[in-house]
Amino acid sequence: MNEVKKETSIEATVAWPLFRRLTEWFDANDWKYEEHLGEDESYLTAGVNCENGTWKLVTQASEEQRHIYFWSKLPMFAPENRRSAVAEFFTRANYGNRIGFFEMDFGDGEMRFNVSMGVADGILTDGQIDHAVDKVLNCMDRYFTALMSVIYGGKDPAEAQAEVRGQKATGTESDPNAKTSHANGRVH
Amino acid sequence: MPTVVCIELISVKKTDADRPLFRQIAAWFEANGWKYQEHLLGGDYNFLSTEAKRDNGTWKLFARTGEEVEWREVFFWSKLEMFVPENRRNAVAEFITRSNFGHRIGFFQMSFFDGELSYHISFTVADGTLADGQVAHAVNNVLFSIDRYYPGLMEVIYGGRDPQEAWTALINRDLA
Repeated sequence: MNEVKKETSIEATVAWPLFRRLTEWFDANDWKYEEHLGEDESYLTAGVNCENGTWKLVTQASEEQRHIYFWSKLPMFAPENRRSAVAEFFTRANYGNRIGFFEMDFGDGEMRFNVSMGVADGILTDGQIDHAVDKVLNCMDRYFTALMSVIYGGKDPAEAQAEVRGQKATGTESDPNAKTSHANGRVH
Repeated sequence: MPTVVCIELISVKKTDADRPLFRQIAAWFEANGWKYQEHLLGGDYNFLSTEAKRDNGTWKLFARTGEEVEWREVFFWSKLEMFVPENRRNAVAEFITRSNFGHRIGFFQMSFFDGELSYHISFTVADGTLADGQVAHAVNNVLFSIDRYYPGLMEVIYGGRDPQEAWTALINRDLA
């Protein structure tokens, strides 16, 4: 039984080397996740508790292009009449963001925060995965309340953004790109 | 005087030794025959600049490394010369939001403060190594993207074109 398992694992590692690096990291950090295998692109999903909500984390590997993607997608869609305001909010939020960015589909209002990397001929390391996961979850968590105030509270995007920046200035975070803490491993 | 020379030599040596990612990107430009300039402002403020001609213009390209942070990072970006006028910044925000969606690697940034517009690819090296293929991928994609979206951006900024229309026309041109 162990031999069969090992063989399967080796085959999978050969077929999906980047994806297997991702699953190794999630296994090593004891995260619960679901995996979805495809011929070229495979992805896994996990739910993570952060301060302001439970965010869905998706990580995907494109073996042919040697790209990896990490993103968190919100369950709600931005209503059509607030998409321009959200576009302004995201543009303000993205400015100066060193790693990762918010994106929105103007077609249906889907919103997510995205971190990606071209691995090319390099080697994907645990530290790189650590950082990407941390960045995605913390950015989503940090901007969520302000984003909701723009969408559902009719708040001015510039004002909402200033409040997020203001939180940093008052000491909860001093650097727009700082690492913050999420409930690592509190997965569902 | 000899003391001053000595300090300078030590300083240069220390900069090189402490900034392997920066040196590696510079070496990549050299190895690939790119003319570039080093701007040594000190530490993580050091950056490289070069330019490259593409279909729609000659674009400036910059590279910088974060080697004094917990996660070692590399940044590549191209910045347009012009600033978006205040009355077109919301339209450009819509255009770049449309462009950024589904863009798996890299994204447009605009400062609402002064209208600076740039396209970025950045990633974390952390405990890994920076591969030449990653530098090539980032450089090529930054230049490709700024060139690809430039006509649409100009239509929105200076032609007063609706951002959705400009973005749709650009995508349709690519598909044709």
